[in-house]
Amino acid sequence: MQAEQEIIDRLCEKFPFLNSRIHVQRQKRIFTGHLIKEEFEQVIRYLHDEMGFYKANHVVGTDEGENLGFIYLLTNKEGIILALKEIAPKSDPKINSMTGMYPSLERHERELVDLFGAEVQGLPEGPSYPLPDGWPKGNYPLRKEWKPEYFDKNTMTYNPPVNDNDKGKH
Amino acid sequence: MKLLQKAINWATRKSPWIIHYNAGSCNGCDIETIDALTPRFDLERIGIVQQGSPRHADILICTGAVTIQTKERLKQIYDQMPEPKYVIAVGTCACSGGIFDGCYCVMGGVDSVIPVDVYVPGCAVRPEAIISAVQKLLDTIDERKKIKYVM
Repeated sequence: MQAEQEIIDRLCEKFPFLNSRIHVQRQKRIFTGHLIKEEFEQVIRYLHDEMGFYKANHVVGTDEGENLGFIYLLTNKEGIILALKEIAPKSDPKINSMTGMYPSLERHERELVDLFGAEVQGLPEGPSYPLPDGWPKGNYPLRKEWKPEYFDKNTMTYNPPVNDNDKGKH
Repeated sequence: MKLLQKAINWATRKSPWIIHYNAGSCNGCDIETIDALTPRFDLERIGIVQQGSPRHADILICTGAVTIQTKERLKQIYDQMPEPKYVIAVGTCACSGGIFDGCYCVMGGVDSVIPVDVYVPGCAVRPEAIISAVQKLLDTIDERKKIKYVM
């Protein structure tokens, strides 16, 4: 646990806002709290440039009610995985693409665009992934308010019930 | 039964050609299907040859739950096959949708798109089950044995 604690100490010294928002979950796993866009970009750039977190394993999207969460999993050469969390409001889900630092994240960020409706700025032009062709715009299937039972797969239209009282019937 | 139909049934029964299509499987059932065709289990001993083109095939072996993206392709492959044609749904996902049923981009089992003759459940299916399914399908083509296996 020595190496994990050293990373946390170094990060807290550099970024005072991380105090009490970062902890060791277990051996080789460090979790952070939700950071806003500006804080997140400072931290991830420092981790990439100065602290040897050279590899991004994965990006996880989460639905946090009013907000969308994005968890970036970064690894260094000792095999320590740092879960860095970013948060953006659903009304304005803009985040910046990290493909400049980690080119392998392109597919993961396209998934955030298709499945969660995030607006990833700076993502290279390309096809939509992974939803099928002809998927209607504005339908984000991994958001909690989107229910698969209201989606007609033959006509590719989303038909939610008009009254809130009807929800229990389905 | 007319003589011509008898001759066609005899030929189909003796040397059916199959085509294998993955409609959205995790590849577990595909590995087992290939395993059934290769010399250890040797599906070829009952006259089966795998074909690359649906236009030359008699039996479609379909694995995996059908997704919205593969639905049209599966229909096209089925339409291209000449009559008489048969479909075997291999794996739990191909039979009913399996754990993917109800997912936002999954139509369901193979029978939600095309008619299916034989269902082979299992996750993943054993090669012996595939061989048994093919043999039972071939037996149904033979009119005399049709009563034996009601499907």
